[in-house]
Amino acid sequence: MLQTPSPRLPLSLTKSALFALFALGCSPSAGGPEYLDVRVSAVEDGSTEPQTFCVPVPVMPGGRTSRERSFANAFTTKIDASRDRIIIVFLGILRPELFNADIGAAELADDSYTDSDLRVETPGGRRFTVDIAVGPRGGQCGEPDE
Amino acid sequence: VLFPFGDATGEGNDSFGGRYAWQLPLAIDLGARFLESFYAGAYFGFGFGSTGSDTRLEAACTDDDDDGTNDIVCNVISLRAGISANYSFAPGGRTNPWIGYGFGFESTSATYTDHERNYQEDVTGHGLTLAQLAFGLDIRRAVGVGPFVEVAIGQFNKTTTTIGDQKYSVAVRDRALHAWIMLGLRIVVNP
Repeated sequence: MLQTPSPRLPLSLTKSALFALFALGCSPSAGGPEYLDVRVSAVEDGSTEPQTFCVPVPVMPGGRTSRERSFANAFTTKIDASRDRIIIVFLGILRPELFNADIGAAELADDSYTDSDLRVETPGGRRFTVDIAVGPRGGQCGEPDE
Repeated sequence: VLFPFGDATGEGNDSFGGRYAWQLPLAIDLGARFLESFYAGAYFGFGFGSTGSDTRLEAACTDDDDDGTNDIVCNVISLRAGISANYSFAPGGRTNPWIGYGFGFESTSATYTDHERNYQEDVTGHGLTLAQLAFGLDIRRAVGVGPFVEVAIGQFNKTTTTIGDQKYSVAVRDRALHAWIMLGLRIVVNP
């Protein structure tokens, strides 16, 4: 049987169709909010490999995600996230009050938050550079770690 | 029909009606009568509906691409189970007014599914039904049929949030009272 190649739309025609869709007030996306992750990563001085800890931010009211993780058996981070508030607490470091974060709805309004290059030190003298970030899911990390 | 009232938690702007819309319920009571006027038994209730009136949730659940496919689906299922007791004022009469009290466990799950972006989130509130107060009127023939009103007052003490294959269970820090108010029709077999 003779097979004919399936017809393909020229690129310009596809673009025109999309433009027409927008002009008619239709969106090619179903919408929905941006799906966000909270990420805390830490690199120990002398190391080049960061450890990253991710937790998704819920979309629905009442949703709460909470995880605790130890970094290099040196200090612990606990993330507690709801759609309106993210609390990040560090345990086992010197002066944790300087690094603990309480990110409110106003700061999450534009779907991103960063606090970079935090220098933390454990009572045992180990030093780390810590980054905190909130951003689109998948852009920063994959599935959250246990 | 089930209507939500009160607050899901006391954690600010977390009303029960914001999370859950009205529901279509089905409830079954199994038990026995004793001392003519009294009934004791177990109840199991199920309700199905949509997510509530919270503005951001409504916006999130709106599929606005007009392609005829519902890519974003939001729904709610509630379950209640426990024990209950009723008192009949005219157990031998054709028309029997009655009152009831019960207590037990409850959970309500709201599920948000975005098929287009492969995202699913389920938030389940677990708690106790502290008082399920009911009154109604049965018209008794071979079976009893009649309207009733039921107010199930409860409190969530735990929330389980599942996103993808990750599950997070946390205790509710600031508890509050909520209620499901049910208006319905009751059918009594072997009244």
